[in-house]
Amino acid sequence: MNQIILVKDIRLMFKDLKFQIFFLILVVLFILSAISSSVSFISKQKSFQNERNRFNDLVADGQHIQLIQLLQNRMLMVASPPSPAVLFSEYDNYPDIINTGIMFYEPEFSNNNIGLRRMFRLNWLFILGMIMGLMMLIMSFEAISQEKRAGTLRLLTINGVKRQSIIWHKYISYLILYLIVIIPASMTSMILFFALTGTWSMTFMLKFLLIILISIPFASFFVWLGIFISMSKNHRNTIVMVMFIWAFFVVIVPQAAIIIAKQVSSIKTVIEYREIREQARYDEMMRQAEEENDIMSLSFEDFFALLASNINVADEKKNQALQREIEENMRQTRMIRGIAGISPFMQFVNISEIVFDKGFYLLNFQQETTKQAINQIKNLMIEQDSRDETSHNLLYSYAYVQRLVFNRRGETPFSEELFEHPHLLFVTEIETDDVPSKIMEILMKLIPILVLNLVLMVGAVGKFERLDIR
Amino acid sequence: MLKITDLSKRYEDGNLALDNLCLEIRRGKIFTLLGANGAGKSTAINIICGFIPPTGGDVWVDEISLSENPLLLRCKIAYLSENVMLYDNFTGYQNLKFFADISKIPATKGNKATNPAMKFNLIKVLRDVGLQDEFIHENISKYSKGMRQKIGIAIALVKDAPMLLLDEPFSGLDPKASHDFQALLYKLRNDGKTILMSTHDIFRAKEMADVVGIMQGGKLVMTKTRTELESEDLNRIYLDYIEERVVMENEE
Repeated sequence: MNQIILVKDIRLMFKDLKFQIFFLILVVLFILSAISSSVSFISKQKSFQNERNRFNDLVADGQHIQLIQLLQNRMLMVASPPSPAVLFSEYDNYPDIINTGIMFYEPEFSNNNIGLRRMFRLNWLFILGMIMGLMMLIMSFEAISQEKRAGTLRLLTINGVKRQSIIWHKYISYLILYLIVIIPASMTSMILFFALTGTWSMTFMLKFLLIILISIPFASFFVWLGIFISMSKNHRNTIVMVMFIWAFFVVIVPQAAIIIAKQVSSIKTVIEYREIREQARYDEMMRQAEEENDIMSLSFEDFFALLASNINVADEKKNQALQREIEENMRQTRMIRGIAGISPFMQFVNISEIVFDKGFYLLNFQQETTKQAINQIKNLMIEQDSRDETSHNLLYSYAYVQRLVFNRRGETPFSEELFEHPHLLFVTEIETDDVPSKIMEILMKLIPILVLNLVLMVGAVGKFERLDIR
Repeated sequence: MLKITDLSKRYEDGNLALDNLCLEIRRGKIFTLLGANGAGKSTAINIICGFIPPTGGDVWVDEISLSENPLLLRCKIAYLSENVMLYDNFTGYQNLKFFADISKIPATKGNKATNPAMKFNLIKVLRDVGLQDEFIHENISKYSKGMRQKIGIAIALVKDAPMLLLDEPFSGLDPKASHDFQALLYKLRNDGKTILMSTHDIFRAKEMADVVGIMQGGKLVMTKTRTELESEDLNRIYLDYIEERVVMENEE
């Protein structure tokens, strides 16, 4: 590595008006993302606190029946306390609702979660995944052509600089430039966020650093692409080509994947699933009410037993009705991920979900275990509650199941401090992901982008070796 | 010393730009290549510099072969084109410093490889080539063509290469700048540098060259020494060759 050439390349880029404009835009975007994320964080924090107070009031008032009904109707908002991950993306939206159908949750499945809406929110995912790619493409698409036009490529060659060396120095200097821009801007954004929200989390700081590290191969992909384009003979149309390539990888492919998958296999939304279940439950209630004649005359124990049977029947009906739909969902998810997988942006989104413990996807492969655990918990909940009317077991037990469910990637919807009765908690067979397996999963997901980098690198270097630089 | 043997270049479109060019220039001599556009002058220089690969033949500079050791050969060549290529965002001094920093003077017997920037006082070099002090630290974008040419020759000077390749270096220079540049080339020749220059300027070619060569259709069709040219009209000879080509093309 020749330091002189590297410094020259970086200095030239710093003096480039394109870079200066982009730098300013990025700093502004990072600051704005910190402000908007802080507002969102504070509002979520308030709503979380309100929900906790609501549970406590219900428990204190002995309103267990109401609690169970709310749980079964998925009307209890027991969202997780907001985390600084909101700065990166709106991942802490889950779980909005305690939902036994959580195993069906997929952002692409829900009408409320279609990709574009998430993409264009002003957060780090938008900046790192979309804007940075465009920036690196626009910065690098003249890497070679500019030097060729100026004739300095010839002067470099005649002064003994190898062609491979020229292209590698260009590449490395773009990556250094990327880090020079991104690290201070993101750190400012993070510090501003912590200052505005009055929070502090070293874990999330480390995660953010990890995300920046992971974003390097994605930035590198766009740099290689830009360098490759910069060697095209007809340079006049390259800016159009650059915009199209960017839009293709970042917008067209992910959206096309969703559209194609939905065409191939039609599925129901989360809301439709809920309606099916509610209808089944309502029918069961009606049937039993007719049989028992007067539901209000039931004893407390009998009411619970009825409710339990009602829930189980409703769930069973729902499960039967949805079994085929679930399989369709799985098929569609695989299809969406398969098609969208060719987009580096989608790969980056997937990896960031692992880093920030979004973690719903592996649940798909453990449906039976999850279902069994949930049924077991429900029965135990009712049993516990009927024995100890004043305990929090019901809610906590239910929450603990959810915690395990969510904990597939390590995040909990409840803070640990809520578990005041650890001896009553249930242990299920659902395992949590440990750090090494997360790292392995991230590495596996990095393979496609690394391969893309390698292919582009070989193509660009090979093309440059044969380039006529007269 | 420069030696070219059977150098050929056929482009992808089938055009034969160089057809077994053979040429030899002794140390401390100026060789000017004359020829119409497309005669192959610039192609020859581009191949020697390594900008495009030849399809046949070889080039030697001081016994170093282009095909065997292109990188080392480039260490022995300085190149100056019609439009001097520099980084517009850098000053004249920064450009010179950069190219001096990346060039290496190859190791010789008893001497290690050195960096020209360590050997030369760059400001003095810029003054020597006639750049005014107030422009030394100015951005290149503010330079005239003549001033850029001076930076180009300064880069060539600090490289201290024994061979200079000049591709139409007088084109677009004003009379004063041309005069200064010519004086500089004489000085370099007297210092023992070998110079190969392509030009359209017949009068300057005759005035400066130790040997003049005329290229046509990728071939060197004539060479005459300064002594031979003293009694001949180079302008007439050149025009004869050009017209002959036009006739040949018409016959075809």
